[in-house]
Amino acid sequence: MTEEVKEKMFVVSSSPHLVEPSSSKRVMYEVCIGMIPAIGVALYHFRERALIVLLSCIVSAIATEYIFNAVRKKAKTHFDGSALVTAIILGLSLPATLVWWKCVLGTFVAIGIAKMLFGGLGSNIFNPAMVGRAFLMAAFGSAMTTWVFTADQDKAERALWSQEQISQTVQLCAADGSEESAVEEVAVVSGATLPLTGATLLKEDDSLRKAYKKSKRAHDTAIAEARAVLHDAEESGIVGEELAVAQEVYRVAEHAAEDAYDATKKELKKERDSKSYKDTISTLMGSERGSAGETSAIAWLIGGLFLLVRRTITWRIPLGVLLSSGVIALIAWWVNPIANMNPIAHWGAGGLMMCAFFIATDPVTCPLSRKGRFIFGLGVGALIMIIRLFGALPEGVMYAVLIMNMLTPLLDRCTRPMPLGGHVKNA
Amino acid sequence: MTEALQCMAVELEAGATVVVPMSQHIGAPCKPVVEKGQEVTVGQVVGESEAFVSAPVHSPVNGVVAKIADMPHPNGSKVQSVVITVGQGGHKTSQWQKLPDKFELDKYEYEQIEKAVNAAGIVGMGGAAFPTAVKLARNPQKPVTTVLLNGCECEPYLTSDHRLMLEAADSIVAGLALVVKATGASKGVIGIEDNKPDAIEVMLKAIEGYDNLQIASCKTKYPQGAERQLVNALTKRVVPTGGLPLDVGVVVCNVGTAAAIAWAVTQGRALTERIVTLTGKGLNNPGNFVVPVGMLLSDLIEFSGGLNDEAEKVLLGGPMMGPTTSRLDIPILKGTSGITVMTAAEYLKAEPTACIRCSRCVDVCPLNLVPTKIAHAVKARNIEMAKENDIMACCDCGCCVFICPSQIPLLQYIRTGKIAVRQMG
Ligand code: SF4
Ligand code: SF4
Repeated sequence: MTEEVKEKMFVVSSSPHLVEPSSSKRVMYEVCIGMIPAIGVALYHFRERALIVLLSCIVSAIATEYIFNAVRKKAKTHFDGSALVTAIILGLSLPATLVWWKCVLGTFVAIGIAKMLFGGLGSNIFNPAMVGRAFLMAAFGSAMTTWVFTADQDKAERALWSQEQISQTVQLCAADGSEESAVEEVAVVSGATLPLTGATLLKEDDSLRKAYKKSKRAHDTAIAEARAVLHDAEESGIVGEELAVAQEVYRVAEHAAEDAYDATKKELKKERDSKSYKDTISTLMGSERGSAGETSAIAWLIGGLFLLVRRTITWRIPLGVLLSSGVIALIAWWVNPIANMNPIAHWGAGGLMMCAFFIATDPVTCPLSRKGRFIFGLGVGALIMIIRLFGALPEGVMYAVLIMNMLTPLLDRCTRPMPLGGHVKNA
Repeated sequence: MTEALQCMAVELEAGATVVVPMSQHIGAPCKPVVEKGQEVTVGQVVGESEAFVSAPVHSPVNGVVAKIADMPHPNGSKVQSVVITVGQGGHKTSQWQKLPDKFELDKYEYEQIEKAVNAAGIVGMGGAAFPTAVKLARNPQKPVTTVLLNGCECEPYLTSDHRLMLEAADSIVAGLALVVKATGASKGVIGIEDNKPDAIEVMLKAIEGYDNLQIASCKTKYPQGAERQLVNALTKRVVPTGGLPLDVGVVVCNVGTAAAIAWAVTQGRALTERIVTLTGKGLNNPGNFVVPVGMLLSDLIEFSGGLNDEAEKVLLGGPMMGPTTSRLDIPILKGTSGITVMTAAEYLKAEPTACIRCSRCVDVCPLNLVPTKIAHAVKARNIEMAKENDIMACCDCGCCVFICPSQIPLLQYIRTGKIAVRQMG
């Protein structure tokens, strides 16, 4: 034995000699597994439409990655799972009515331009799926904001509507020039029957808020105008009876404005109240209109918890997103419950949960340090709410993520952890 | 890998020859003080040095000096060594783990302790092999407040410290008491990982009667046994980068070293044997063994039961930091705490893929470095950037490589970078 041992060549290598049996591929596929509940909800609500969107994204993502690698003579990476993750996230953030070739185009931009041109996995600066979506938003704005009812809603609504009413609506829509392309779009996808479309929850929230702001503005201007008239009258030096009349006129105008304002407020409040409970539930369960996959907050939450338990992601980014968005939504709601939706509904709507657990947590485009990741999460959440409450758009996930992606290198530099025991002193 | 732990440590005799290298420690190598053909006995000094940072080496056996030559050393080079042909009587050990009589701390004074430790050639037995007498030397500028006894295994798989605590608790505690006395510290704390309740129990019993000693259980987490981590975990003090525990008033001492100190002070026993863990799937009979320092690795492996056919990689130490060796004709040193023999199935790694910036390496680095950034800098040959990112603070623990899902050999890059930094001066 001794001889044999002396003959034997032992392997020489650098330590450590143990590695955790994990791989980037596994990380990616775990993310995919985490998205299964959301995919299930999407397929349930939007049936074959969601399937077509998802499949177009997936097939084209893998094909795009393959082609780019082949052209640039690089190692094959199309099955490393990252293209699949991007494809599913993109697919689930698109309206289910989008025609397949638009999905393919969006995916091509996501994988080809936002990822492969930057050098492939790990080198991209922006979240590829969000770049793809931003491109589609810019190119096909109206198709991207046409939200069909879910299958269940569709059925229920249809049952209420007579065939006649439906055809009337179709004509009405068609007559409205701005909606034309959307209607066409919808008609192409659905064949003969026109699916019913409606506003998303956030869109409704947005219009309520706008209605509120409008009436407030109307009220303010009315009062200001009346006051100006009164002021002019006073300046002109009138006295006695005439002054009393002017004052009376002012009071009446003020009353009218107040009354109108109060009436609108009451109306808005009624609308809010009638919806708030239902909306909160429906955003959580996913029976609300929206992108194929962003309708059910619970499904994303389940998937997110799975990733947290599997330690595929860490809690800092999701917590940051939920914390800052929740606090801002809460303050807004507390200050003005008529103009603003409740924070739970905000959490549930517009893919915020999807963002917190699956989009903002994309490792490639978020900072490296723990502190950096938490700040990143806070930033995404805050931006989402700022865009929703003050911006022109009803939802803000996409821009919030892209903006924070831009800040990632800066955050990396500012939040580099201090080595235990301090920096090495250079002699 | 706990099979090794369950049984008592087995004593092994030396093979036909032993090789005693003149350098088994950090610091100046010794000069041989014996000649070819001379008879030596157990515990006889065979090499000494005048230098302050050094430790004498002793013969572990009775025998005859066969030659004095440069022999293969675990560090990969050849080092001047005294080769001894083992004679009659060979290596004697009797009740190696016990203290002979009732231990009375008051009998020993500082000078006496330091002298005995120095004469016995004791070095840190956890692996670093820093001469212990130097650690004990009092420095008025840096008073010691706490002595930490490191009962945390320095690596996964290794169980020699754990085994020693179970078998020689009294000696270890006596050694700690001596170190506390010698350094003038006010207390001694024994840090034991919380996955070793049996050791905690035994040690708790052993410290009864010492009111300045205590046991602290710490999280089982590699690299808990590294000095910096241990000091931080047990005293909440942070050793400055590039500094020593002494800078924050702490002296850290391994359990094996403490036991050796007790034996040296009470019985004048030189450090000529130690406990070694043999572990890994490539061994027929893993376990803990008490072996003479200088025993050849090939003898040790053979006497313990030999390698099996799958053995592919031999590590001097544990699987996280142990360097590999291609040859087995090298001696066990004072600082060799374990040998790991791995099979191909255990260490095969997948091909590295692109860094996905998952930040696991950042989260896991015990020194709060950003390994991926350093590795990228080295890869891009940007040594300045690597330096800015504190490449030199890295302790080679290997945690980052262990965790990286993309199988990137981060530590290999970091080591390359460190060499480049040193060359730059
Ligand atoms: S080996 Fe890696 S984990 Fe360990 S100290 Fe160095 S950089 Fe940090
Ligand atoms: S663990 Fe590996 S893949 Fe993750 S950031 Fe570090 S080097 Fe990159």
